[in-house]
Amino acid sequence: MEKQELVEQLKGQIITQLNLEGMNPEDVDPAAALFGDGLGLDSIDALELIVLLEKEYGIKIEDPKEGKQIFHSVNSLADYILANKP
Amino acid sequence: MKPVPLFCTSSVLIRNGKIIRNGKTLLHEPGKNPAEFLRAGYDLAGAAYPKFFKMDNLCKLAWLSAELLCAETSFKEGYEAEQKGIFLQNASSSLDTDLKHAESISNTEAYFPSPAVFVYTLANISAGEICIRQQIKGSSAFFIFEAFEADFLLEQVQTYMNAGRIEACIFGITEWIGNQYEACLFMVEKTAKNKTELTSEFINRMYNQS
Repeated sequence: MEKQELVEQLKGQIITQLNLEGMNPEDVDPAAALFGDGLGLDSIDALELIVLLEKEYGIKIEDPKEGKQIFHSVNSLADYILANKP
Repeated sequence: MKPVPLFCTSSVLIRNGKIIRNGKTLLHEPGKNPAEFLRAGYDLAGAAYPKFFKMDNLCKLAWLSAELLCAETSFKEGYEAEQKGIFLQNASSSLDTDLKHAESISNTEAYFPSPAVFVYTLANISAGEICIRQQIKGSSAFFIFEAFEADFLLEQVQTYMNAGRIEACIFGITEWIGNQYEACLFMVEKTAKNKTELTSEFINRMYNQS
């Protein structure tokens, strides 16, 4: 899967999984921060993203310290999936 | 010590597709399913609160009830957070969400429990959601009874308010199991002119209205 295709897929999955009501994929800037000022996600959302990564892509994050970098944005998440998919 | 008279300054009843506030019907959508009805209630409240959509049904109902209860009152800004309390009850606790969580972990081949579901497997989380929104940091409790216990709740409210632990509070029932739901909340304050004195008869009359 190409990165652009994966980014679009991730946007939809994040909106659905995190119940981001009223938000469409085109509203999500793939370079914007997912936490803090960006989408304003919280700690429970972070756990949901970890589950999404494992459930949909078979990737388990072994080192929690990597989380901040992996989940910085949709782009960084897509890069991590492409580099680590089984 | 002589009990301080308490006054009900607002009440909300949500049941059977209907929302009644202070005796006035605000919404009547008997044809809507419970989820659609909750959404209609949210739109009625006119609040921009994205977290609402992440809550389980019990929390959505409790949050919506309190939102409508506190609208057009000074509950949120009129008291210090520590002066406000909340006392809720229901019969099913968080069973509705407990069952969803149990189902999500029943398949050992696809074991993906949802943190967003699990976090709501406690009934008092619904009180917490109200506390966050209405800035309540005083006494709080969530009781489980088979039926609505007006006398018990009133005693709790009187005890805490007469002791000076709180100056205002929200109390009542918030219930959601399957497609069955009801919420009946009351706002109580010590000082309120031209308002109804809080008695168990008044509470039961409000709860039993249709």
